Order: sequence, then C-alpha cells, then structure tokens
Amino acid sequence: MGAKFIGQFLLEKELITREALLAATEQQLRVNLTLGALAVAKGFLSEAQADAINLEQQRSDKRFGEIAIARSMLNSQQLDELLLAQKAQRVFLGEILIQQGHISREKFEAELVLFNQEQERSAELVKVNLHSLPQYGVIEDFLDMTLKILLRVAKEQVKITSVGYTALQCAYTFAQRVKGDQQFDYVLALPENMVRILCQNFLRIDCAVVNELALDAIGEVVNIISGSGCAKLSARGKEATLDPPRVISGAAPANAVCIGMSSIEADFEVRFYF
Amino acid sequence: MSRKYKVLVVDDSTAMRMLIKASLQDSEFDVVAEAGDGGEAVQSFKVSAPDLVLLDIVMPVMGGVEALGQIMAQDKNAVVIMVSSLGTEDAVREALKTGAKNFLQKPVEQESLLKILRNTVDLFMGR
Repeated sequence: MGAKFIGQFLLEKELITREALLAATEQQLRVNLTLGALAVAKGFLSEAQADAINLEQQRSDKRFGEIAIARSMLNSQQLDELLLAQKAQRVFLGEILIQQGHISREKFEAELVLFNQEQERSAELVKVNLHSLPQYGVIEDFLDMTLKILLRVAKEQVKITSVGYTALQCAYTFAQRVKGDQQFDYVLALPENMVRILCQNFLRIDCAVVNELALDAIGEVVNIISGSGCAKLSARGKEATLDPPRVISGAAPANAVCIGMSSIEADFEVRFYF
Repeated sequence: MSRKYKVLVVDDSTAMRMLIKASLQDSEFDVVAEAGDGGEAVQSFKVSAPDLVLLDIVMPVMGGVEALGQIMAQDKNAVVIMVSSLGTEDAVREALKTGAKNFLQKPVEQESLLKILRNTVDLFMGR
C-alpha cells in the first residue's frame, strides 16, 4: 500500500463511506478558516486585498502571510495574531468524522496508529526504490519539480506512492521530450477528474469538461515542470533543452519508469520514457 | 492620463496567453496582439508595432530565439522580454545575446511580471 491521506485510508478499509468522507471534508473546509478569511473577519484586510493575495498565492509557492507582509498589507503582529487564531480553531478530519458519528474515537485512534506506521513504511520503500533506479539523479530533479509546481500553480498537495515499471491506466497522457546530455520523455498521466481540477486551479476558471483549453493548460503545466527540471540539470552543469509538450496515446514502453502519485483528488502517474 | 504600453504576447499555449492577459488587465500594459509561434510573432510584430514583446522560447514551427533574431533584424531597438519555462543558463545566455532585454522564468506571477515590465520600460524606454 502506498502513501495516502487518512480519509482515503479509512475509506479503502471500508471504515467510513464515501459520503461520510465528503461530508467531513466539506465541514472541515467550512470550519477551518483561511488566513485571508480570518484577516477579513478581524478587519485587518478588505476582501479585495485578501483576493489579491490569494491570486498571487495561486501563482507562487509563497505563503499568504509572506505575501501580505511583503505588500505591507499586514504587519508581523497582525500575522502572529491570525496564525494563533487559525491554530486555535483548526479542526482535524478525524475529529469531524468522530463528531459526525462516522467512526468511534477508539477505532479512529487505533487506525491512526496503523496509518502512521503504514506511511512510514511506504515512504521508506519509495525512497529505497527511487535510489535503486539507474537514472535516479535526473528522476529526483524532475519529481522534486513536479511536487513543487503542482503545489505552486495548481494548489495540489501530492505524495509519491510507488515506484515501478507498470503503467497505470489513465485517460490523458501528456509528454515532453527533454534533449541534451540525457534524452527522455517526461510524462504526466492523469485521470479525467484530475485534468479538470488542475485546469480549474491553474486558470481559475470552471472546467466542467475536458476540452482543448484544459488539455492546453495541462500541457503548459507539464512545460513548466520540465523547464524547471531542465534548469536544475543546467545548474549541475548538464545541457538540457525541450521540445513543446504534446498529448500522446497508446501503451507506455516496457522500459518506462512509472512513479505513482496520489492527491486528495485522484491517483495519477509521472513516467520517464528513457 | 498615464501612458499605455502596447504589448505583443507570444506563446504556443492559449492557457498561458490567457494568464498573461489576465495579469496585465487594469495595468498600464495593453495586450494588443497575440501569436502562437515564432513565425506568427514576426508577422504580428510588423503589423501591431508593439512597445514590448513577451516571447516564449519553446514553441513549435519557429522557436522563440529564432523569432527574436528576426524581430531584432526588423527593429534593432525592439524591447523583447523572454518568458519561458526553460530557465537553463544556456537558454538565458542565448536569448540575451540575441537581443532580449530581460528574462522571466515561468510560472508567471502577476507581481513579478508587472515588475519586470516596469523595470524594462524604465531601463530601455525612458519612462
């Protein structure tokens, strides 16, 4: 079993239902206020100011407070007050599941211990498997950028769940050729809902269906990841350049290195075709 | 009324052009033309006569650096800023050597985009 989130862990063990998880995560979103909402509630920021910071946050990996201070919209005392208030009112998913009667406290606490043990084992296994790959260096650089860029431009917190040579079946596959000292395709294989969610978060528009614009947006996300990966290679003295990204179809080649990824939304895959 | 600067945005990604346009909305920079590859960029530069060009590097048909060379051949004073995911030393060096005035690595944040545009205007267009 790979790395996952506690809600997903409980769902897979059939200890809670999908509806219960959905209700609990929605409740969590309602209860756990963002720093922006807290700042507006306390009169530190106007809604327009909070929106402007959120917009910048959407396009960067900077924290809300960091941007607000840099723009002189908040001072450090106000930020500390907001952070304390946020911490004080924060409710964890498990607590909501217990409060809503979806699982008993004893059962949840026992499962949390198992979950944490599994996460540790899984992280160790992924680390060992990654290190054993012959192309470990370049893969590490590109995986690092994948996690950072998905968080930065698409607000998706992602974990690596597996390392292997068997490709997952995904609805959409995006590839970009990296050329230079090392030649390979960087590939992002996504299920349909992940394409829509990434597009929505990247462009800040509704994306009800996967259309040409959505495919183009994900191609651009792939391009940003690959370009940043190439910059890392370049910083280590390696030559690297790119062809434009493209949507591909068909089975992955037998020698494809497949890195399983998981976000709260879906499982997907990053592949390297050497 | 403060001056408006005409901007040509060149990127093969429609999504990226949308993001750049949204970032420049309500600023002193007006997107007057768009192009999806280097060849279109060279043509569009002739027709729209922009004050500034935001030019991607990795594009099909004709890449950004080749387009930059052709734009500089048309107008040696053209003010072109490369906006690319490819932030390698070679890419930056080649673009600047070919005549780009500045370089911004994607992802593009509104604040950094406006800052680089304003700095470039101050340095090369004597605002």
